[in-house]
Amino acid sequence: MKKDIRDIFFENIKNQFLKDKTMYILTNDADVYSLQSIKTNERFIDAGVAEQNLVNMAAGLGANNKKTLVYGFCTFLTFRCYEQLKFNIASHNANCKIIGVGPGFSFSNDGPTHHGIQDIQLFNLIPEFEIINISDNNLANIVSKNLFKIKGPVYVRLEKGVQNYNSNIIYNLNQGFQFTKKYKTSKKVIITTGYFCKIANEVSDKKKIDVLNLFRLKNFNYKKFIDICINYDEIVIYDENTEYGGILPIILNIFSKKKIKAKIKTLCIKDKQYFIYSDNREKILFKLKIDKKSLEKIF
Amino acid sequence: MVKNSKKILKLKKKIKEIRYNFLKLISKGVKYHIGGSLSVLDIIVCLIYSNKIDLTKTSKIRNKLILSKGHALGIFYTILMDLNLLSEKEYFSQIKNNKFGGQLDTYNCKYVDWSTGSLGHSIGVSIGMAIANPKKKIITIVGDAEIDEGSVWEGLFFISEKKIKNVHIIIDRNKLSASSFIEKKEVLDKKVLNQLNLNIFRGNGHNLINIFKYLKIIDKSKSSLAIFNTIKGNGIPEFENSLQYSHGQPDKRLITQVLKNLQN
Repeated sequence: MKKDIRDIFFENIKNQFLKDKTMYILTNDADVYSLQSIKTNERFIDAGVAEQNLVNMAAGLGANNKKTLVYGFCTFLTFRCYEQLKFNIASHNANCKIIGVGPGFSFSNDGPTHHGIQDIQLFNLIPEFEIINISDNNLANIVSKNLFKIKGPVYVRLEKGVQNYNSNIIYNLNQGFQFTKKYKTSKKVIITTGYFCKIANEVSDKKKIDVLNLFRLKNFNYKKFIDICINYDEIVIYDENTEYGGILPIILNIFSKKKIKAKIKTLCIKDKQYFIYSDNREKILFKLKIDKKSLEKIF
Repeated sequence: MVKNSKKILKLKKKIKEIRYNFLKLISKGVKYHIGGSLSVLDIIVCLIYSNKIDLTKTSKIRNKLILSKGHALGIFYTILMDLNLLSEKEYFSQIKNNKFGGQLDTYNCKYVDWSTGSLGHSIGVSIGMAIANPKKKIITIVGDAEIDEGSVWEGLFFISEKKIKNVHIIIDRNKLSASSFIEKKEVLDKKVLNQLNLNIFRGNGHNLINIFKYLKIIDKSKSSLAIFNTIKGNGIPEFENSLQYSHGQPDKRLITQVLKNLQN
């Protein structure tokens, strides 16, 4: 599948939309190539650049047993309409799926307004929301085909570009995590999520370290996750999000409930906003010392 | 003439009864925002007793009402009791068990079409409901302080632009927020609203003929916005235009006196 990850995801969504007359797609003027052909459908609603109204409308549709899928930039679909998400979508347990594109530094040169490095924690704070962070094309395919099988509100983060590196992995949505690299004798593991899974895989090839891709960030199989982690001597949590905004608090919270003897190291962004407008993603990661070389240095 | 019709006289009587029964709840120690409840009372009574919102039918098959200024919920419960849809015993049991509180919510009362508490959300939610139910009217009542919320305007512009036909917004313009006197002349009196693709209505929210004129507009297949001038605490001189009784509770002596005056 050499397609852009967004095309894989939204092609599947479009197919479901065309079959299911109870499904509505809403956006805040975000353009997605795969959905262009359905833009004139009366169940496709472009709310314009008005995220609060966008989410309120999805809630009103949800109150009448409609399925809704809302997509747009992850930073704007979270911070700009947070109360609406918490109250109207989550409190009413709407069958609403929020798709945030542009996670991490995928839209690097637009600056901190477009850097999706805290949105995971926003949804982690809302009890009813599930969170899924899609790392690769294979996972995008599975998640988009099964998204509405997950009841209630779900937040999905979606990368851009061709992310074709985990095509042989058999993902289990219920389990919520999967080894993307596994060596028989390794006592070290990188736990990562989203785009960083790709970098972790590359480092793993060189250093022979296991990589665990945590993609479902709530209600994953906690017991199995702990049982796996307990066997390692060294665990590195590697995340493109800030130390408070990403997977670090989620994992440390789980670890705090069990005795994990392993040495835990973290490599993620310091709690700071970055007013960098000219660099590409790789340069930003280098400057923030969370790039591939920084990960290699840890081992 | 509607003016002298039996219907109007009957509704005037009903308004008095609901006002009295609402204040009776206050006298029994239930805390509500008196001012904003009494300002919108006449409008809610007209909507429900004219069957524009027929609460005897299930939510799935009737028009819907979102009381965005949810702090006026005491009026709603009083009406439910008056319609024998909620017994007094059940009401006080719900209060005792902390099921009925200071806002409406869909989990604890089946007659509530949308939970409230966060201001400015209801117009957008109404649009979603309107799209899902094109043959029904979705009526939402918002306070005049609430229209400061940007989401109110996002919703209004969307209705206008997309020509949504079945959302009806009523602004209870009592000119008092929770903490201060407000006018909003620039927004509500000038031509800004007239530019929107909605039926705009301006009237007196305590004049039943005015209210019924608006109810006819709701029947049309175009969304509407009504600005009703009202008096906070209407009908009770001690509470009228009072910041103190916007959300403050009267003492036992005062509420007893008010009820006595109403009886007389």
